[in-house]
Formats: sequence, structure tokens, C-alpha cells
Amino acid sequence: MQSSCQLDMDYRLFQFINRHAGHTPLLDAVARLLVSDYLLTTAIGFLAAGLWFVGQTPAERAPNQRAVLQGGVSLLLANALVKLVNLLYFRPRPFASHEVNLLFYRPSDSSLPSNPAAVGFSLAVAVWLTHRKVGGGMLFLATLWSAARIYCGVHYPLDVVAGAAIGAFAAYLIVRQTPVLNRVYDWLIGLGERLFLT
Amino acid sequence: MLNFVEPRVAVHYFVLVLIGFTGVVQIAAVRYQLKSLLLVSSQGQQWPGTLLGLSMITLAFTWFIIATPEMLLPGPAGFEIGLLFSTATVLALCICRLTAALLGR
Repeated sequence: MQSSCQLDMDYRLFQFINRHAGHTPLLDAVARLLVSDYLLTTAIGFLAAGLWFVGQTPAERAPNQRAVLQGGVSLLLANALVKLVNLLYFRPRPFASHEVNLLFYRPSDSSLPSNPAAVGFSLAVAVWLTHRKVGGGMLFLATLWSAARIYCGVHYPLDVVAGAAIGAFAAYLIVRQTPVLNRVYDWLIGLGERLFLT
Repeated sequence: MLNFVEPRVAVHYFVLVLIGFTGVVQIAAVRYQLKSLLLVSSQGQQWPGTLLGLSMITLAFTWFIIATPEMLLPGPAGFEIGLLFSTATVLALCICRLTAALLGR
């Protein structure tokens, strides 16, 4: 699937980033927090869910609320696409093939594409296509999470780029190419407004 | 696909999202005058509600980091974390709504 030259460059870039891990306790502690399965995911989720309430009137809130729902659907599609790629191709993790500075547990699934990158970027891009500020914040957090995965030794750079591309593609498809879902979104938005905002 | 973590970690995460998202809702409610979700009466000023919201978010994350050393072990599968997150956010919304209603907002 990739030429050995590309993989070699990918490993060299990985080494350039990962070689710093394990030498600076403060940086390592921060990286461990950023790479965890809980913190940045939740922060991204809070931004997305908080977008639901942005706007003074129902008319102002509606596009933002639709973006939140589209983000959720994009996330599911991105996950499905990652699973599909995993059925076709398996790439060993960096620690499985090389001596690395590992700051995290050892996942056993395919290294490429990065599922966290796909998930983070699908949600972030879906929101960004509607709301640049909140989406921009989510893109920043998704990038931070992806970078931490490389620093901590669990992904190559190409893995997170591939994951981000899958996530962005899923978001674009859902936001721009599936108007058929708009009725469902509108029904859910109406329900939410009646339950919590009136 | 499924990797259910220890109940203790799941409960900690649920509490993190419950308190943290309540804080997010308070910041939004103050900013956009969503009276049906406000927990504090601000008399037109934004800072009490914003301060409450930011404090809740900071407290939730800080407590989770200190109280959950297992957060660096394998985390929950996507389905489990999604279920915990969505349940906690809906519960947070219900708590804000009910409390605001009881306070007469």
C-alpha cells in the first residue's frame, strides 16, 4: 500500500517526535494527560454539545444544533470507515516494530488509520463547516490529541494524517451531501427546544 | 469493539461529564439568556454564572485526574464512552431544567 521510501520517511518523522519522550518529566506528564482516552475526547464533546445552546433565538440556534447532530453522524460514519480499512489493511504499531519511548498502554488494533484522529476530526470538521469559532477550537484539540499519540509512541504521523483525512471526508459527506437527514435533524431540534429551552 | 472498563472508572467518568457539562450549560445559559437553564440569578450580569460554569468544569476535570489513576490504562470502547457521555449530558440538562423551574425562572 505504501512504498518503503514513504514508510521510512514516516518512521524517521516519528522518531524525530518520539525521541523527546521519556526525558522531560513535566512534558511527559502533560503528554500522558493529553493522550488519554478521556480528557481531550470529553473536552471536544463539551464544545460540540455546548454549541447546541449558542444563539439568542431558536432561529439562531437551529444551524448550530444541526451542526452538533451532523457531527454525531459524521463520527459514526468515520468509525465505520476506519473499521472497513482495518478489514483490508493492518499496520503494526510503532512499538511492535521498533524500540520506542512508550508513554501509554499498548493498543492491539491497526496503527493506520488512527481511530482517535478520525473521531476527533470528524466531529471537529462537521462543526467547523457551520461554526468557524467553535469548530476551530475543536480542530485545535483534535490536532493536540493526534500529536500526543505520536509523541507517546502509539501512532506514526501517517496514521493520524490518514485518520484525520477519513474524519474530514466523513464530515464533508454528512454535512454537504446528505440533505435527506435534515428532516430527522429538524425533528430532534424541535424536541430539544420544547424539552429544555422553553 | 466492546471494552467495558471497571465500574469505578465508568462512574468517575460519568460524574466528570455530569458536573463538567452542567458548567458548560451555565456558561451558555448566562451568555444567551437561557433562563430555563440558569442556576444562578445574575441580575443582568454574566460573571456569576460564567464563574460558576468555569469552576464546575475545572473542578470536574481536576477531580477526575486526581481520583482516577486508571485513566492511563485501556479506556472504554467507543460505544461505552458514547453511552456514558450522552447519558450524563442529558441528565445534566434535566437537572438544570428542573432546578431552574424550582427556582421560578
